[in-house]
Amino acid sequence: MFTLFPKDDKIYVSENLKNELVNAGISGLDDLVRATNVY
Amino acid sequence: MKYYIYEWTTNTKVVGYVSWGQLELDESKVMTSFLESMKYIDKNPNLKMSFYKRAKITDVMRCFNIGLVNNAIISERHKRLLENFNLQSCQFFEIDILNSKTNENYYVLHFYNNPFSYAIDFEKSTFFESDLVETLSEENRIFHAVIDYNDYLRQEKILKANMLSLLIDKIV
Repeated sequence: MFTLFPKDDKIYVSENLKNELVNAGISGLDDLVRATNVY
Repeated sequence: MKYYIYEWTTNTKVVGYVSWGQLELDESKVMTSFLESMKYIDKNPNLKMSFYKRAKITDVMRCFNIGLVNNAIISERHKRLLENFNLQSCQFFEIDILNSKTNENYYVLHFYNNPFSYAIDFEKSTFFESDLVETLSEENRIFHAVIDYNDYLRQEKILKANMLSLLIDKIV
């Protein structure tokens, strides 16, 4: 399963990695909003 | 599978008073077009960068001279976190920050290859069309047979012209 990848001028993260980023307090990211049309 | 958009923030309280990134390449003449392409890089480009005066340090940063789409500047701790996952098509290149305000190492996160082009078994996966707000209920989904990546792109292009998109129901 894809975890982190670029597509159509954006970078996408899977939900489990997103949760890890939030829990770790990784700074410098905008709010990680859900992408409804990834594919 | 739910996905989220990973995007550098422009919030000045977080990144400082900078327009297009906290960092700039130290040598503006350095060719970075190879970073913009999604090609595998077989040699560390040994990039040297500098912080803008009003920049704040964050785990994800942007370099003014390098596009963020295929590249982001990330901290050592962010890199370690990513390495816990089975990332495909990613490379890390340590950068040299000449006026660094921290002892932490920073890296260019570079993507190469589009994983969709080779990692999906299109014939065994299932796809359906959707409008932009996903109003179709599951029982009313219209499924599409897709042979390969090029077929996926072809069908997606046709659907996009009609304000629709091709979503994956199941990946194999």
